[in-house]
Amino acid sequence: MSALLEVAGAVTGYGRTRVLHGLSLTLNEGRSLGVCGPNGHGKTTLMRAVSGLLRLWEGDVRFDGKSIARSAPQSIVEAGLIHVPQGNRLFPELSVAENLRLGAYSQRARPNEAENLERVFALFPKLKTRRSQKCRTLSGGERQMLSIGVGVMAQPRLLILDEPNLGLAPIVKEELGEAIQDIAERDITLILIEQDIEFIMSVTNHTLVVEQGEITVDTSIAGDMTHEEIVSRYFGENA
Amino acid sequence: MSLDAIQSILSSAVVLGSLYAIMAAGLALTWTTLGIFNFAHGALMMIGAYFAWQIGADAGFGLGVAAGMAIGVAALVGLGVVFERLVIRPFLGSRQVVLITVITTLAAMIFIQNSALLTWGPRMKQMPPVLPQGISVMGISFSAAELLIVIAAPVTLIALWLFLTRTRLGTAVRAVAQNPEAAALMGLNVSRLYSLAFAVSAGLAGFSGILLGSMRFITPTMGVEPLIKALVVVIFGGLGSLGGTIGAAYIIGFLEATSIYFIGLYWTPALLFLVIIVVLVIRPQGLFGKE
Ligand SMILES: Nc1ncnc2c1ncn2[C@@H]1O[C@H](COP(=O)(O)OP(=O)(O)OP(=O)(O)O)[C@@H](O)[C@H]1O
Ligand SMILES: [Mg+2]
Repeated sequence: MSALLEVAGAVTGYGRTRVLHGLSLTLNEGRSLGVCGPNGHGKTTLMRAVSGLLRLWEGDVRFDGKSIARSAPQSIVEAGLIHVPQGNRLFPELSVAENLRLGAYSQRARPNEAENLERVFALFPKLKTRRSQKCRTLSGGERQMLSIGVGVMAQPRLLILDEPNLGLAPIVKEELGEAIQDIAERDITLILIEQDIEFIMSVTNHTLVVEQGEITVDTSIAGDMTHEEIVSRYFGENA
Repeated sequence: MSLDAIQSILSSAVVLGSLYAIMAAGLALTWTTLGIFNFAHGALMMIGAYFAWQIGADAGFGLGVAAGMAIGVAALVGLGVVFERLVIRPFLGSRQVVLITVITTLAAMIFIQNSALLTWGPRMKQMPPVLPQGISVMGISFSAAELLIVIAAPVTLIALWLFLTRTRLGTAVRAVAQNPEAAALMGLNVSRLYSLAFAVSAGLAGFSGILLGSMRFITPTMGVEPLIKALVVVIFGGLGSLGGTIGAAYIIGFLEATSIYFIGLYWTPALLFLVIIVVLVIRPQGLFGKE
């Protein structure tokens, strides 16, 4: 099995503040990876560097064997690496249908637009009934569904979901969770950033813990902690 | 009121409305989609008229009016790309982009006006007529330039509207300023979309400037009054909607034609502003604006 995504010694940050301190990870095609860790320790920053929104200061990112560390976000999308950002507002003044249509903007996604749209509506039937509603007027849960839907429209090889459940009620969380599970079981490689370790465990093959801009736990490495140990170590007091 | 009077008012209302609609649509395009108010829009109109004159008129290259118009519009499309690159793009990342571009587009307006003054001098130029004589439609006579404007305006505006609402590229133009980061993550080429919007906007400016120049005289400051008129139309129609802008253009054209007929050219601008102020007091969001 070949590595779809490789991050090697990533160092970056904002202004002069370093956030990532030489972080590395490898993800094979068809696998799914959970990422968790305390707030403000660099999970989102890592994903922004992977999708080209933020330049690396040192290190490299390879997607499907090719370095994308200096590529523009557009060509990274064109390669099939799709990042659904945390708290995505999408395009508030456009309708749900228009947002989905722009999800399939890349050349790569266009041939499968109709098929992917059907898939999105199957995952989230609510979106279908709200097709002509402006995104601005969607509820938090619906907007999160739309964000994921827009990601699916892009025909991803690797889909990165950054805290899709943030701030949602348990019942909506469950609905989203089923959809994410469904996506993970298909041929899409998935990275899921999530605070809810139980949820990560139910969806992903292995888990990383990011702390202080470094990976402190990797459950895929033998001898490192397992999912269960992470739960008891990091979340034990609250669980 | 005589039938003649009604005919005369209506014909000049349609001509003015069409002219304002094209002028204001170009301005509203960048304003409603990108949130950038281009104070150089009138200056771009003026440059379009000079380009067309230079290429078309006998005193210029003498290639004829049609070539002048076509090349003039094409040149303005190109100028729109350069304009965006120099005046808008350097400030796109900034939080203060709206304020900064007020200043940079004003500066560009002055620069373009002075360049025209240096290149073509202060004397008025006149575009050769599109056709030697006017045309009569249902007993109302139009000059060829007027007829062109009346036909071209709705065609251009419908094309613009279809582009913005029905095509993926047009939808992307509307989307990009709403969330540039999400746009980048969906594979939209943010800076190229800004270029495109300004290219189309400048093309519309050039087109309306050429049409204006073939009805009136061409001078380096000919764009100042139309800019104010376009600004009024955009505000009157309700900021943020292209359709409202176009409706407002025709309404203001009609008001102006009626007022010129009954109370004369001198008091018309004052009356126009009065009406607009009253409308905005009653409907601060503009005539067609949403809450
Ligand atoms: N645009 C920015 N400018 C400056 N600092 C930033 C910016 N974005 C994030 N940071 C800082 O970088 C650090 C890492 O933030 P990041 O968003 O990557 O954390 P996170 O692990 O995703 O947290 P959370 O779980 O809360 O989403 C934080 O200290 C944050 O304050
Ligand atoms: Mg985050």
